[in-house]
Formats: sequence, structure tokens, C-alpha cells
Amino acid sequence: MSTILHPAVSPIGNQVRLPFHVAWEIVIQGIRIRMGRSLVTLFGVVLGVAFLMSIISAGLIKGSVSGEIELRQRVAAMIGFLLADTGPLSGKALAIHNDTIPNATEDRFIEALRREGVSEIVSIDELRVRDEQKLYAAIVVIGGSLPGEIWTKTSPSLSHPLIAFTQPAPSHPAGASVVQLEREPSAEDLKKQSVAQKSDRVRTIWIVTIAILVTMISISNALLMSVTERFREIGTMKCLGALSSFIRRIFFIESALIGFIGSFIGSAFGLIFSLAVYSATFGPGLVFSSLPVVWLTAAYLVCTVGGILAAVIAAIYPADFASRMVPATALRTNI
Amino acid sequence: MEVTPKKLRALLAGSECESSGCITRAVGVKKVYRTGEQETHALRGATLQIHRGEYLSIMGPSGSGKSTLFNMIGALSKPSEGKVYIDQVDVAQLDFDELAWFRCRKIGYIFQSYNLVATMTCLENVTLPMSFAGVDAEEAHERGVELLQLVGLGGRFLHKPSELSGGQQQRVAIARALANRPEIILADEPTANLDQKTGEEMISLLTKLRNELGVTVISATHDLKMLKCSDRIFWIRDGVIERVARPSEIDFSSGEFH
Repeated sequence: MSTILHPAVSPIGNQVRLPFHVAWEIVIQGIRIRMGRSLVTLFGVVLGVAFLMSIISAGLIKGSVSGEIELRQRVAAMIGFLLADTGPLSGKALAIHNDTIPNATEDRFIEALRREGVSEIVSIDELRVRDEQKLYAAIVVIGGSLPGEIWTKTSPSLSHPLIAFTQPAPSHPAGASVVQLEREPSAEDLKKQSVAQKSDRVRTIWIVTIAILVTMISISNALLMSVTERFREIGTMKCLGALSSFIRRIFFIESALIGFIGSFIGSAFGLIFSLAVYSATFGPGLVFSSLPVVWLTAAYLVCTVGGILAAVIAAIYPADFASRMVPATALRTNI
Repeated sequence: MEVTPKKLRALLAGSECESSGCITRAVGVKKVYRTGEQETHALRGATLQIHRGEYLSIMGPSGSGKSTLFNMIGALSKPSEGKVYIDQVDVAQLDFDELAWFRCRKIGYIFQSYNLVATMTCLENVTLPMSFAGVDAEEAHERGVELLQLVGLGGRFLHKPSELSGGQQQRVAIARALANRPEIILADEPTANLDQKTGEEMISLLTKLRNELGVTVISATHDLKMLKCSDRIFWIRDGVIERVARPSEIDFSSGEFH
């Protein structure tokens, strides 16, 4: 008998190994050959994930844009309060006392002061050393407290100064006119805001859930289609000795791969979409100046991973269906 | 999945097919298909023995249970009643994955419509069963080339099935069936989709493989040319083996037994 038929060592006892690269090649070739159907599946994933990502990123951008708008309004209000007492600041000098590190609002307030045309912003400490006869429109106090002796010991022009507190002042120094720049929002405003936020969150969760379900159903459907399309091929592979787990693996790999590509592209589309819509509504300057980059990156990752997971979960039923198929199906061309 | 020698011995218990002259044995095989309330008796008690190295043809009208019997012998499905022993293993006792293991190594399949994996080259089609059996890639590649040369497709390793003629595709299928050195080649109407001349070439290739490699060839067929080359012919009707005959006992001009 020829050696081509009978190996020297009996294969009995050998474990059936399932090389990953074989499954991978089958998947890649399968996707390439069935490009049309693969694209339909991919499109389903892209749409679903783009929807999901646009909802999430729109929420994030909305939050940062409304934060930015609120900040700008507050700064504008602060400038307004100051101007009411000082008149136009153009060409005038200001003294600033930093009690603490300025917060975001205060930073922006100082920036805004410069835009108003203030000729010079000098810190009190520097002012003390200088000995000059110059008119300072006001002392702006960042943080809160101002040492009582400060204006008397500094330049004479500050002996009856206008003192502007960015935050509630603990004491009102005598011999000075005081202006309070920032006002606390009323309790009613806060309550309205929190109700609006909560109902917004409920709506977002609901929409996100639906987006995930729609994506999963569309992937599952497309994969199921590909099972029926591949009845013969799966049956043939089973006749050749493919284990059920191998068949299952092929479907999971294909699904995960399509899920990855689809959700990566879909996340990009979703992000671009919400950026475009917000830029068109509020202007690109406002949107991009306050872009929550870290959060958007996190959302991108979450949507991509979520898309892959949804695709793999959606593949459970089709993969199981294919792996339980009887191999005789491939032969059943002539019953 | 692992078939240990111990398990194999357990499976062999009860087999009376000790003599190495017998490769497949079926005893009182019945198969009932249920679709809702309706029961279809595809096989009503078939008993047969197939000898090692035999060239056997199964024929019968459609609906006779021919395909069902063919699937039983090929370890593609299990009988409702009765026993099928292939190479002394009771097929009914194997689970899903053990059956796959068994098919992978013991049986090579040839289909009427070739059933090559369209996305793979000829060589990849031939090496696929070897990778299922855990043969390493280099060895599989070498053997794949060897097998394709054996079936006369020396220069077409890298062609896709769609680039080949029907006869050439069937040659690839034969090479693939031989990949894991099976004891049995199971051919389901292998010449039905081929023209006269190509069909004859296929038959002489199968006969040659049988003679040179000692492999058992079992085919379901209506092709007179194939029947003429057979050692024995099983004639099936209404779910039973009605007659077993040699080609010389058949009047081929009428297509009926004497």
C-alpha cells in the first residue's frame, strides 16, 4: 500500500487543533468575496454607532457650550457691574489684588478687562513699591479678603478707591466704595436647572438604549442572512471535519471585525455630525473654544468598544444556528 | 476533543466486524424523519457489509432512501434504530465533535456539485481538512501539492475554483477528499454534473485511486459507466436494500436487474 494513504503514526489521540490563522483567513476571504453583503452589515453598524456617538457627543458638546455661554454671560455681567461705577475703562489703569489663584470665571474676567481697553493692570504688591501719582479706576479683589491697611499705605490716588470684589466680601472696608461683581444664582434658578438636567439625562439614556438595540438587530439580521447564504459552505466544512466551535469562531471573528471597522467609522461620523450641527448653530468659535477633548475621546473609545461588543452579542444566535447545522445539509442537493 | 485509545476500545465493544476485510457494517438501520405530525420512514431496516478496498455503488429511484443510507454510511447522520459501524466504531455513540473528528480522518467526501470553498484557492481547499486535523502548515502545503499532482492538476495550485472547469473542480474535490488519508471515499453522484468524457475520466481516476491506494470507494449514482466499474451494486427501494448484485448480473441496456 502506498505511503500517501497511511501515516506512520496513527492520528488517534491527537487533539483537534483549531488554528486561529485559518479561521482568520476564511473570515477575510469571506468578507472580500461577499463584499456587497459585508458592506450592508458594515453600513448597519456604522449607522447605529454613528447615531449612538452623535447622541453622546452632542450631549457633551451641549454641556460644554452651555457652560461656556453661561461663563461668558457671567463675565459680561461682571464687566457691566464694574462699568456702571467706573465708566468706560478704555485707557485707564486697574489694580488687582490676588488673594487666591483665580478661578475660570475670574481668569476670563481679567481677559475681558483687557479687551475693554484697560491700559495697565498692576498688582497691589507692585503698586506698593511704585510711588507714583496715577489714577487707578478700581482695585479688583480676586478671592475675597483685602487687608485693611492696603489702600491707605499705597499711593494717594487710592485713598478713596473703588473696590470691586469678584466674590462675596467678608468685610467692607471703611472709606471706600464697594461693588460686588458676582451675584449668587437664586435657589429657584438652581432648581429649574437641575430638573432640566435630569429630564435631559432620562431622554439621552432612552435614545442610547434604542440606538444600541437597533445596531444589534441590524448586525444579527445581516449575519443570519450570511448563514443561510453559506449553508453549503458550512456543511462542507463540517464534512471535512470542522468542529462546531470552529464554525462558531468564524462567525464571531467576522462579526467582531465588522463591528470594529463599523463602529470606528460610525463614531467618527457621529462626532463630525454633532460638531457640524453645533458649529452651525452656535458658531465654530464657541464650540471649538470649549471642546471637551478628553470626554469626547473617552466617548469615542466607549462607542467603538460598545459597537464591537454589540456586534459580538448579535453574532451569538447566528453563530449558534450555524454551528448546530447538520452536515448532511451540504449533501442535500438531491433527496 | 480527544478520542483516547481507551474510549475507542469502549466504542468497539459489541462490534462483530473483527475481520479486517469489512470496513462498514450496518445492522437493521431504520431512519424516521418527523415533520410535525407526519412521520416519514426513509429507511426500514437496512443491513449491509462493505469490504475494505471495495468499489461500491448505491442506486435507487429518488425517495428510495438512497441519500439517507448514504448519509448513515458516511457518518453524516445517526440512525433512529439499528447500528452503523465504520472502521469498527459505532457511529451512534459519537457525539457532535467526535463525529467531526471521525469524518475528518476516516472519510473523504466528494459531492455532486463539488462544494469547493469558493473563496479559497485549489491548494487551500486541499489543505483545509489537514488544518482541521492539526497538520502543520508546511507539511499540509507539501502534501496538498502532492495530491493535486496525483489527480492531474499539477500547474493549478493557485487558481480559484471558479476559474476551473467542472472536471477540474471535481479533481480538486477528489484531492481534498484524500487529504487526511481516509479509509473511505464517499462520492455522491460525482459524475452527475459532468459531461460524458469528463465523467469517464473521473471514474478512471477513482478506480485508479482504489487500485493504487486501497481506499474503499462508496458512491451513490445512476451513472451506468460508474455502475459498470463497481465491484458490487446495492439497489434500494422503499427504504430497504432490495438487491445486491455484481455488474455482470445487470442488463445495462434496460437499466434493470435481470
